[in-house]
Amino acid sequence: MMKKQGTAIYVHIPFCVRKCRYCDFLSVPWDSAKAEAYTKDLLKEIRQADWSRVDVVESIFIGGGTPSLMPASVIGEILEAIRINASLSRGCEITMEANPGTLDLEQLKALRRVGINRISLGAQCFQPEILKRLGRIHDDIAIEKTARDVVAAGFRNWNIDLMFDLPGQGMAEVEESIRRAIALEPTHLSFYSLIVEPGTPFYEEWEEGRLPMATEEGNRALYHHGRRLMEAAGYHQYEISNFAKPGMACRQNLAYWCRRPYLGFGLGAASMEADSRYVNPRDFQIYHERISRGMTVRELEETMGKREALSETMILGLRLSHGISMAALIRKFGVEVDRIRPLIAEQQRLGLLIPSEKRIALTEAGMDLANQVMMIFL
Amino acid sequence: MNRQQHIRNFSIIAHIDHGKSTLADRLIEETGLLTQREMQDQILDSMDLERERGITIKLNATRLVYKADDGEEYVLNLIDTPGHVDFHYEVSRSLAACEGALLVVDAAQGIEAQTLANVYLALEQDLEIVPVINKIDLPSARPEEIKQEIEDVIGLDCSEAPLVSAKAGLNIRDVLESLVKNVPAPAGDEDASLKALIFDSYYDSYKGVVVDIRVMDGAVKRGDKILMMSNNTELEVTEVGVFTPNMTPISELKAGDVGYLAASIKEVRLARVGDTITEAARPTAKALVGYKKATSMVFCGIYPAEGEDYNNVRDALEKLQVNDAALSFEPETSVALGFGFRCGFLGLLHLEIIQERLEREFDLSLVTTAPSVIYRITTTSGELLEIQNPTNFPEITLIETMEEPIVEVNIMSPTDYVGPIMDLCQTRRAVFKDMEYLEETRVMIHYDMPLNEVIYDFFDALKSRTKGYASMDYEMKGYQVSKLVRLDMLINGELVDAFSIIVHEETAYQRARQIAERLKDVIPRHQFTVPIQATIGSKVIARETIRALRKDVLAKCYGGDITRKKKLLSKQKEGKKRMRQVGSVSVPQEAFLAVLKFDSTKK
Repeated sequence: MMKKQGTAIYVHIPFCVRKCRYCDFLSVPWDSAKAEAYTKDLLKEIRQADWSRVDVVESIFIGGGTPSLMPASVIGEILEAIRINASLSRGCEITMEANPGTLDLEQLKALRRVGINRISLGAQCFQPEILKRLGRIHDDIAIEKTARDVVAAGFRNWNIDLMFDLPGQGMAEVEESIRRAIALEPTHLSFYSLIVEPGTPFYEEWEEGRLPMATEEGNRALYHHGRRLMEAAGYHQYEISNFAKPGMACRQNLAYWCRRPYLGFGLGAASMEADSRYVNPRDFQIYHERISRGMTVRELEETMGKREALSETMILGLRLSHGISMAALIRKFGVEVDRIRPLIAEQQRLGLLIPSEKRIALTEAGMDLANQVMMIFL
Repeated sequence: MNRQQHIRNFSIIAHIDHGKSTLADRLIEETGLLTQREMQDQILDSMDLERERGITIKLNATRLVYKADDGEEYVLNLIDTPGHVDFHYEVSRSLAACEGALLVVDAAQGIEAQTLANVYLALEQDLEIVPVINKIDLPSARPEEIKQEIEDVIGLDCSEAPLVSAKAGLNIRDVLESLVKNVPAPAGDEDASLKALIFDSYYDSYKGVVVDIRVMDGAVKRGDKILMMSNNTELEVTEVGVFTPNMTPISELKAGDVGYLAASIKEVRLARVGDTITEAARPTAKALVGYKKATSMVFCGIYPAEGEDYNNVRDALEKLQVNDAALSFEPETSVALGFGFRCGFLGLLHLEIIQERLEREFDLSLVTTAPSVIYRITTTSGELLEIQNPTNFPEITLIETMEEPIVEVNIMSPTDYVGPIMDLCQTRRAVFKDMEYLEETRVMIHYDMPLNEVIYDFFDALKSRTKGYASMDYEMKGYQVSKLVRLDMLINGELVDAFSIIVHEETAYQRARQIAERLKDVIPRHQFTVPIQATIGSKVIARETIRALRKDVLAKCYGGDITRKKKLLSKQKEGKKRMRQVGSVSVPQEAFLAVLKFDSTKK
């Protein structure tokens, strides 16, 4: 029998104090009655799920929304429900997303006690006026306070999320944010370019020409500068938007990009098992009904054949700095790989892929034009 | 009483927006042909495109039955006419089948240039014109002034003109009464040999080519052997009928009637619009006058877009040509676009309509090249060339003289916009002839202008500068010696023939700059810098640079949105695939449209 791969678990908490102006994630304003009902459904979903394919859990990620709005005891119950159904690997990474100003030292300590061992802090930037423009509920002081509490509570693995190309943000502001984030000594930094998604208030502003954004060149200047600052401080880029101290890369994210199986629980959560992708309903009512009736919650989104699986492996793997191992690719896909060899050679000629026989990885120039390379393999 | 005494055949002449279709609907409603519930809004404008643009493009005929105040029942055949400047030819077709025409004038706006042109066309054919003042319910309506204007400008007696509101359904009966009273009844000889005019034709997959006819003399019924006079083809009639407005078979069509005829006609060319149908056994001595053949004034290349089948485009063009004799086409080849067709049109609107019909009704994806007119070139060896495709423009050293077509342009406008109109015309090499006051606040301005300036968006430019108040009409005047050049566009050093245009030397620099700027905007960034150059011969007269693509990356990709991100990439890849490859540059379809339209001062 084939050796089972470690599985990642994602749990979605769809509540926020209020929605940020750029956010297109699935979240609704906090409502304690609704949250309580949702927790019950969520726990039931975890218990009812088919865990037969899961051998060992390598990472758990509780994201949102704002999971830090949930009491630590609820987080504990969720983790317990998972532990009952599957064994966790030694050193299993258990992350929870937290927003500055939504939790204190006591809660952080409590979270550590129930099993959380990694915190991802949604800071985005350190300029209060820009944070306000984004619709964030915190300021820079709150970020620093919560960050110190995270460390004081004993977390040794934690992340700060930063964004760039935000309205009103120039080179100086990006540099300030990165320097102040680094000063707090997280083990991991995410550094995302703002994506203006349809359906968000930012999208409307953008359509009306009221959202100042950098040019392509300006955007890249911010990115390149940010990358230099983080690299210089010992945070190594391991993915297009992610940087970490040695050995501190986020396992949950790696699972997605390496196409390892994952199970998602909660509203709108996605799963991937055996070359099939699934997604949970995005509507509270439908989600609740399916669980109450003991039905399968998730819906099949797509099942991939070998060809699709290969192109997806390329698209996801190319996000990583070290890219994809040629040997592993051949092991998995055999002669199918021959089909993409000329495509690889072409991108190497264009200087977008590194000139290597062993690894397929984007060059620095390639990272700026990743889509151009990825679409070739579709 | 004679049967024909109870028939009235009429058209409606009106400017776009003056409410022709709405009035037609009201007439149909009033005569009880359809119940209100069955009335779809504006039933005569049956093509999607017509409905959307609110204009009539193709002819359509409808038979109304009206019980008049004199207690008699009348059959009123309404033959619809297109209202736009490009469709003179089709207007003349429908008018030839009538004895009268309703002239519908907006009570607020008054007569417009095109309406006037169509009225003259109707008067030339001895039609009785019945003026109708519409939109009298508008607060800005000034029916008395408008009546005066019609009397002054056209010389029609308006003292009894019905004052109506088609929209509100006001005084519709007055129109019908006026029709019955003023339009003469047809006076054909029922016993004479058949003489019927084909005023429209279209292809029906069951019946073959169906022709719309006006019977002038004689009668025709199923089983009759008929003769097409222009080509001496004998056919057997399989069906005759009338429009109610759907096709309804009847036993016989007689002198004075309007209806349709089917005769298992396979080939379109056998049923030419304008031809006369007669009896095979007893042919009439002389064919009807028919129509002036429509002449194509504007030409452009129509090519299948990436992935579209050439044969589908040809089939669609053939089908459209069945009832649009003004459309001409022949195969041609472009280096950039491959195999396609050189098509001729009445004007720019006609071009746009054909293009849209091809895309909508036939679901084709097309690339259209910049429009052109026919230039006359005399070479140094004394040969006279007629050039409408820039690709055939000879070397400058081989040209002795060049001539371009000139048109007389008549613009009607409120006096407020005379300044902007003159400014616009000045940029279009127009020569001012004179200006007349139609009333205190409205003028008609006459210009002579190169047709080549009219086809580049002149109509849109005029509308935008006059808030839509001005209207225009043009007719061919003749040729004039001119200094022309061929302007070529080079993308990344490669000449793209589909972008070449023939322009006047004076305007070449300005056009070159505009096209280069447009192309810069519509061609996406590539992984390398793409220079765009405009050249005349080997001389570069304008230049733009598309900077290299610097960023194309999705910042975030997490477990929940992998399927969506893949779809985005697929879409991007598809978009790229649909573009034309010019060397190593991908050029989107819109780029070819970018050179097609521009208003030289609008930014």
